[in-house]
Amino acid sequence: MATSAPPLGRRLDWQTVRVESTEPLGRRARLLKLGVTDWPGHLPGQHADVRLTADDGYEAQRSYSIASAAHEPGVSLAVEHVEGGEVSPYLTTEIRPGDAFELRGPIGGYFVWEAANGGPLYLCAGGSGIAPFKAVLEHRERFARGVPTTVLYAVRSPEHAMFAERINALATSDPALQIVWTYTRAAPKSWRGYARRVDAAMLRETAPRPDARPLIYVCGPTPFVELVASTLVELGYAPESIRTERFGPSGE
Amino acid sequence: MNNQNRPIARGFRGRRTDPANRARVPPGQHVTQDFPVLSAGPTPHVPLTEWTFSMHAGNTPLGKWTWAEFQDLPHTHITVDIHCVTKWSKLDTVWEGVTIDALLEAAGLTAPPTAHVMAHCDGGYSTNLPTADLVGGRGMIATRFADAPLAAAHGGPARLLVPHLYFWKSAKWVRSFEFITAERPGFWESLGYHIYGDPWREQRYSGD
Amino acid sequence: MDTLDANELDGNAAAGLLASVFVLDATRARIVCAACGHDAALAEQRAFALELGAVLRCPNCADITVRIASTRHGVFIDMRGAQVVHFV
Ligand SMILES: Cc1cc2nc3c(=O)[nH]c(=O)nc-3n(C[C@H](O)[C@H](O)[C@H](O)COP(=O)(O)OP(=O)(O)OC[C@H]3O[C@@H](n4cnc5c(N)ncnc54)[C@H](O)[C@@H]3O)c2cc1C
Ligand SMILES: [Zn+2]
Repeated sequence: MATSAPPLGRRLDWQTVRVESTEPLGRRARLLKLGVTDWPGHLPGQHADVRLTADDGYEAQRSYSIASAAHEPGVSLAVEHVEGGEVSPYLTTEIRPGDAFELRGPIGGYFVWEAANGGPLYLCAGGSGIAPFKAVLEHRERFARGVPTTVLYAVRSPEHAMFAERINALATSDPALQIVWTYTRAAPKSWRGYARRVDAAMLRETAPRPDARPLIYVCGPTPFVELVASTLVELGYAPESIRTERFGPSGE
Repeated sequence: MNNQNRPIARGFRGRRTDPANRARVPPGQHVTQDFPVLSAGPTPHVPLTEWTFSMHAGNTPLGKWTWAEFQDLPHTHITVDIHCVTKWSKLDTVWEGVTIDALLEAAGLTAPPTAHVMAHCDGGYSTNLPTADLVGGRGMIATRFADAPLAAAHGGPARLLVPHLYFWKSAKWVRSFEFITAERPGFWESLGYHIYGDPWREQRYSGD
Repeated sequence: MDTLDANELDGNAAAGLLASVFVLDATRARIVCAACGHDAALAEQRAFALELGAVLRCPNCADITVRIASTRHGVFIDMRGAQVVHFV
């Protein structure tokens, strides 16, 4: 048969992207703004794969959440510097505007939240796990202000926090949005909030009650996600209402 | 898929160091100082009191050792380079264990009963090997690494060690040998990885 | 019993590889485990060996549901551990 049928849909392929700008996110992370040419738009919570190829052909591949909402220009990744890591130190300290690498995305339709999904919304982030929620919060601000939302954000210290100013600003102007911080290693001197690892008491105090049937998203290092998700189930939240995304060993 | 037309990530090197002697490292491999962990599943923790290693061919049992009995078999030290199909190599790794030669002898066998073996592991992993690659001091069941008991994450209490083949052949958490006459692909070999896996001939994938 | 490995991931981490093969989003596909009958999204499977492809395991019984290998000769997928894969 000589006819070749047209493709039914589009399989995702790698594309070359260029770094447009970078800016520090706290003291340990960096925001990379990428110029993409072939981008269908994305949903809050989706991620992309990054592939780096060295001049001798060696390659490394990692996943990063898309930290910008679709209505913002370009695609932003928020990368935390993982000590001893192979890829994140390159992305946070070496890469400069104008550099190019490969990106495959947007991907994943499971760990996403859109205005139409409603609330109440409970977002639990450990360390760089805040990245997909940054996109969720920008999307919510634009399309779903008023959806009752609580963010529980666990970071080692204030300087480990990403997007602190932006997230606090979003919350100040919106009474339906509450940000709860917990500093797991070092809190500021005058700090009166949580200064410990996330535990059952903290989740009970900050999450909407189970009978409010919140939509729950948990994201961050694997041990953090495991602990938060299993504790929430013990506290009576329906397992199917909890969506998780595990980042692996790094961070928190 | 070739990577000729890919953009080069300027200044990206990864976690690699250059070996003092390039000829010592198979093609496409890079030297690492770490010992990366790669598993097809969660790390099993079988108590040593329940651990056994056994060998069989068809329905015929050929030998079975408890942990204590295994400790009484003659042990061998080796220092070897290991090569993972994900392109890292680690040089001068020090292992201790029981060679397959010693195991066969303990089972009263003078030679492997068949031309091939399937190694079976806790967690459902398996890998196939020609028995010729296991004898003559070329394969062992290793229980110690760098002068300490082999860590569970690296395959402890015992893993197969066949350093002249890609490291997926050195099955972690090995528990039995099934001697087979006809070659049959194991866990990765049935999913596109090379049936033999010689790093010096860069046999990564089926078809290489 | 198995313990948690910090480098364990979930099915989301295989999303890119799967999207290079399937036109529909595979992370939302429902998988019925052939061993225990547990029904969960692909994104909810436990994920291992991402360096070689992906080994996905049932979140209930840890049996393998899907194995994927990405080689230079193509992508191999073994779904014997899934009774049903339901793309939505
Ligand atoms: C779906 C998804 C989304 C993600 N989104 C983000 C994001 O938005 N932002 C972000 O910063 N990260 C994100 N991550 C994590 C990211 O993909 C990388 O894992 C992270 O950047 C670390 O990569 P690395 O190459 O720097 O570190 P690696 O070289 O992979 O090492 C990670 C850490 O593990 C240690 N390590 C390495 N190998 C071993 C070993 N064998 N045994 C024990 N420890 C070891 C290293 O020393 C280091 O501390 C995401 C991950 C996934 C799966
Ligand atoms: Zn199951």
